[in-house]
Amino acid sequence: MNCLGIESTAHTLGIGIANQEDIIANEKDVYKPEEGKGIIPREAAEHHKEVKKEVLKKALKEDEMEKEDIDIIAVANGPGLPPCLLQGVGLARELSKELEIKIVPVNHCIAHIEVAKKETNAEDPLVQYVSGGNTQILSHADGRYRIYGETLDIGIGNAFDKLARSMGLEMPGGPKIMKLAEKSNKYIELPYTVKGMDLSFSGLVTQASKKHEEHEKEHIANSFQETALSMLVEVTERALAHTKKEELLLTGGVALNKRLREMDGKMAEEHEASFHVPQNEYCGDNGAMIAYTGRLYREKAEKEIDIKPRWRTNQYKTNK
Amino acid sequence: MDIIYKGAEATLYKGEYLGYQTVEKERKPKKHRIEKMDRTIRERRTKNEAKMIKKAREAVNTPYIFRIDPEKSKITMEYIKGQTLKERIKQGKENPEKIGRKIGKLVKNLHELDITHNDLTTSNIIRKDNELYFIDFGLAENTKKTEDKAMDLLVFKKMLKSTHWKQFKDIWENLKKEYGKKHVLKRLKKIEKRARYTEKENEKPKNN
Repeated sequence: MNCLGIESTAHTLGIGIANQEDIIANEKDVYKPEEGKGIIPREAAEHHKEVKKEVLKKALKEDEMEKEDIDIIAVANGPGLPPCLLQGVGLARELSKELEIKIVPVNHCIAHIEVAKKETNAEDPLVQYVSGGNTQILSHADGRYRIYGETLDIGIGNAFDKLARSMGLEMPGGPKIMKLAEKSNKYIELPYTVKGMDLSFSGLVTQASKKHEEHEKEHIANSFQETALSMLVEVTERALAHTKKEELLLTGGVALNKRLREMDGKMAEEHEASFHVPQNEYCGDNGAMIAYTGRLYREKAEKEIDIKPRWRTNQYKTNK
Repeated sequence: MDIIYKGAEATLYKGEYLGYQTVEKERKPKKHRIEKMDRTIRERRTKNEAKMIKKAREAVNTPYIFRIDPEKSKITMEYIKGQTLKERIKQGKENPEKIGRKIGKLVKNLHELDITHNDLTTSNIIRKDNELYFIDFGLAENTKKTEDKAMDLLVFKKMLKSTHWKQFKDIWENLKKEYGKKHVLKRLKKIEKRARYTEKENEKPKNN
């Protein structure tokens, strides 16, 4: 059984294929906003429209497949930016009609978690899911992923991007801030906001953006990164103590941040929990995770599906 | 000293002081944080917790503070012999409607004193005999702002939803009724709408 997965919720147009045993293709093309600017949904959608056929061709070629070898389609129909979602769902509908096969609606966040679990063999982890727009601490209980903590305003990745833009750095800003931070070990106090297991980044970004004129950029980058990540690790630690899970799983695009991995590792060790991160390829948005999750949840397949821009992770009924 | 509980932020030890049973709460250094930030956070929260526990006593039961040592991030306080509401609810020992009303009343008292707890959970409320005790005031604040009070409720609501999903509705609906402060509840709704991926109450996506 071959499941073709389509990801188009934000910057990335990704297409992957999963069969009964494994992931067999994972191709993508990422939209890059103009220098110094954030994502413009319409432009990102335009990008997805332009590249989708090419990415599809590459994904099929990877395993010398024809379209006809596909048995089922999976698409991330939410949460995400509506114009971008429409591109992915549009392609899924087209293929579904042409090949007369059904579509599995996949929640983008659930796909990140499922593929990360598969890649790391984590069984029942506390999940720290961090990306541009999403920052959630979750774990599975009674047929759903329950959200223990999350951002109350912007995602942690967007927080990094916003600061980077205010400093005139190129997008994506996260890796640039991380590189700058490596050059400094100075810490300037910045707003640190946690509420229970939730956190908020907007005050931190505003203050850091204001201060970069009076301090060296690398010191601001370092102080910002240390503050944002300490907040994140603190709420994760709370959730770990609260849920008593024995595994911590980090995933999402921001999982590429080395300092976060280091902090998570140390924190998990103190709680005698094992720490897991999937390979880089499966941290950021990708099509393979949608294909794999679609195959996992194939009984949810339908003939006609729609986009769900504000779909919450805890609304997705899982198999267990 | 015996460890009673090792939480995320602090370790609790059982002790004795002037013949009273005590809890010593120690905020230990965190290896994952840089030292300067770590020290600032621990000291500040220790001082804040002692201060807020005393202030909050006008509104809710809180443990007595015997001693505080900000430099070592330690507080010695009264030992509350009881069980957390989290355990009691999980074990079916609490009537969800009744406990919702009780919590609603107490949070209302707290907010009327212009105090927000900022980490309201069922693990931070202990039942001793027939009384509820609020603990863990490290993140508490003095504030008159409606927004802060609404956030305080939101933190509790989300915690209820993720931890006591079966009793969620009964506890929450009764809590709201007893809490009663209309302007705060209204703001809470507004905040929830503002959140990026807020679900609408009772929304059942057809693809589930």
